[in-house]
Amino acid sequence: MNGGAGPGTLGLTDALCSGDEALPDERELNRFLAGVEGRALRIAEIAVRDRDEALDLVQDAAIRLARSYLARPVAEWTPIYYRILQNGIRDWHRRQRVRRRVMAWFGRRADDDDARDPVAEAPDPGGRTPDELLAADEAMAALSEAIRRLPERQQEAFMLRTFEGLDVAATAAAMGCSDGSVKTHYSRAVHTLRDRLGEHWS
Amino acid sequence: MTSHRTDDDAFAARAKARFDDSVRQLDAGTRSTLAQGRQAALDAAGAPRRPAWFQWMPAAGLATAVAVVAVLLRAPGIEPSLPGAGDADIEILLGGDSIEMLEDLEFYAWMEQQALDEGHDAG
Repeated sequence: MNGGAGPGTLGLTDALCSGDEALPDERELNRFLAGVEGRALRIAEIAVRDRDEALDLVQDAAIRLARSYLARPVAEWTPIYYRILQNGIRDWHRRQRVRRRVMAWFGRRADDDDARDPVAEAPDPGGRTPDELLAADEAMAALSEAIRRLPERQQEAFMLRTFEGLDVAATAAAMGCSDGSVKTHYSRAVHTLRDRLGEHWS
Repeated sequence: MTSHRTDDDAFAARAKARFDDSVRQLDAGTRSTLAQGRQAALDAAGAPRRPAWFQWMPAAGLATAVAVVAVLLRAPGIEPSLPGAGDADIEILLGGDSIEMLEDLEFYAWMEQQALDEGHDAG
């Protein structure tokens, strides 16, 4: 199973099953997670519209990365982490759809508290005037809403490329698709967002 | 074409600036919760690994539960009580780990292929 891997690279199956591989430096993991978690939270929050749910998704992704992929080179952690996070977000949406169907069957709404806008709840420690703060909040809220209206794959491509700064190959790895698909999803997302937000949005 | 590309890049830069600003605005309580989650991940990294077969036990239990519910719903004389509920819905309601695990398996295969490709490239 490990036959074709390069020198010093654990086969993934070996890494998962051996149980006795040396753990990498936890400081490296701490540094990686500390660097990525704020952006990951906001990306998840835009996708699911709920900060608590987003916090759970981010924590779950961190734990899965720690448990299953620490044997991988550190350079691969970012696409792996976002792959796990995006899988979590997709599963969350699936469960919400099923839950809504079930709750509708019981005559109740499953998303009664979905009207919360976590973007608007975030305080500003930057010392800006209320007008500046309001303008920034409104711009981000408009962007978040426009992103939410995109198809899921376009959302993923846009947020991973623009917000996380992943290149096309890393985004493709995180999304589990080809480089060409990433370029297509990203291009369509940017054009749609520009159309919806207008030229004066900033 | 170049102008269009420049406009797209400028838009992306503005969006990135707004996004980074929103990350900087995260309040202390949220940052504290993130730190707790990070510590949980660090604890998980240091925890003893379970044997591989142990990781399949929840999925096996879930598959059994799905099979039992499906048999009960389809038993002669029993009408499904939830219109439109298929096996996938039942599985999602009972728990999502199996779905994530199946996606992980796909990812494992991709990672293996990446390692193989790197090996070929190095060779």
